Amino acid sequence: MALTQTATEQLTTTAAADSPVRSEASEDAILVQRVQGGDVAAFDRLVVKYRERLFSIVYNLTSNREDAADLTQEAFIKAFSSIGRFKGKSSFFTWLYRIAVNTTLSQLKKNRLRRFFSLENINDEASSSEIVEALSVKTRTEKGALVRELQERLNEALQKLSPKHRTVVVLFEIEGLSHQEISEIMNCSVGTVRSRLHYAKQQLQSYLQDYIR
Amino acid sequence: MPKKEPTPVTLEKLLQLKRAEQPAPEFWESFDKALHARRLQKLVEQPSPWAWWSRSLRRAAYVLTPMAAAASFAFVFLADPERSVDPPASAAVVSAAEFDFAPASTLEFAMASSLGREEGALAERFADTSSAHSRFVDETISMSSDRAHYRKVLYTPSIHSAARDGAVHYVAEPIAEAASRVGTASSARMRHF
Repeated sequence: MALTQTATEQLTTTAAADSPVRSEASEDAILVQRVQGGDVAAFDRLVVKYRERLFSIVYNLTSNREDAADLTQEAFIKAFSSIGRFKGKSSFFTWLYRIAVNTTLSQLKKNRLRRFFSLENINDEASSSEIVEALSVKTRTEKGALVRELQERLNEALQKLSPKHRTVVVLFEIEGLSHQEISEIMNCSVGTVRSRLHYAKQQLQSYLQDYIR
Repeated sequence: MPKKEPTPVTLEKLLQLKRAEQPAPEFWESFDKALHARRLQKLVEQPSPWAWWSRSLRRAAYVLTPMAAAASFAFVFLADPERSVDPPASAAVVSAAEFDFAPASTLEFAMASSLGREEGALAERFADTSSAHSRFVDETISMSSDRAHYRKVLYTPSIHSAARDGAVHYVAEPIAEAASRVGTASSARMRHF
């Protein structure tokens, strides 16, 4: 008993000394274990923790709010149904992102998603960012209207990419994941991720050249 | 005072705007409610182990039924002796100078026609036996340039016949060679094919 307690203390000390990413992963692992043990409330905590990030990925892949909500929920349901089979070989968020990305790509492949785009709110911080200021001066456009226009143009440009290229751009440039993490999520090599990213950015550069200088 | 350089607009910076795109807080309330409802529905629909077995059996049936049908078909047709037996290498070939396709339809006819004088007495003994019978299979007609060949293969390789003296006689080869192979055996040594 004393040995177990010491081991637990050591683990706690080690976890505290680790990076935030590591402690986040271990926190996820504990929650996952609880869900696997039948604690449904622990899954709710995972949902609250990841719903915004997951929704953001799916939204940027589909450019439609309703589709994004449906697919994000579907991804969570799939994760909940198969969490018993999650062995912890990868981190929970990689596993969850993979489910969401695969679910979305599968729907995009079936072409069953809505064909109109929707725009979400952009927070004030972004609206007053340097880039918006600069473009507003350059184009002599009111900032609010410029932000809407940029949102539309960015959506359109992303939708012109193939789903796989779009996924790489969304995960790297918008979600800030590493090449390695993207390769695990998309089940491809890091080289493939880099190559797709390079090609996708070239395409986006040409679609958005009016704004880029 | 030096003029401030304008911020360069890059693709990366433009894409960062997408990070700031988030739905209003009210959205998450409806999202959570919908997710909760879907999860409950999923839990209700959670199949029992019996349902799993039933589903697995149904799936297996799609595969096994054609296989079973094919196996039954193969068994019925391949196990049929009339179809599965290989014709003897020395199968009788009756050549006809003209187009005479009349088959040697009975064993007695074939034997009588093929037995020599010395075996005539033996043939007489066979003639009135009660259980001498056989079957013919594989009737084929092949045509060559100047003649037609009628071929009839005797399926049952032995003809068991009970003679008057109680001995059992058998013929071990097809019609054409039957005469030379007619022998006598005791009941105990009767061959089974």
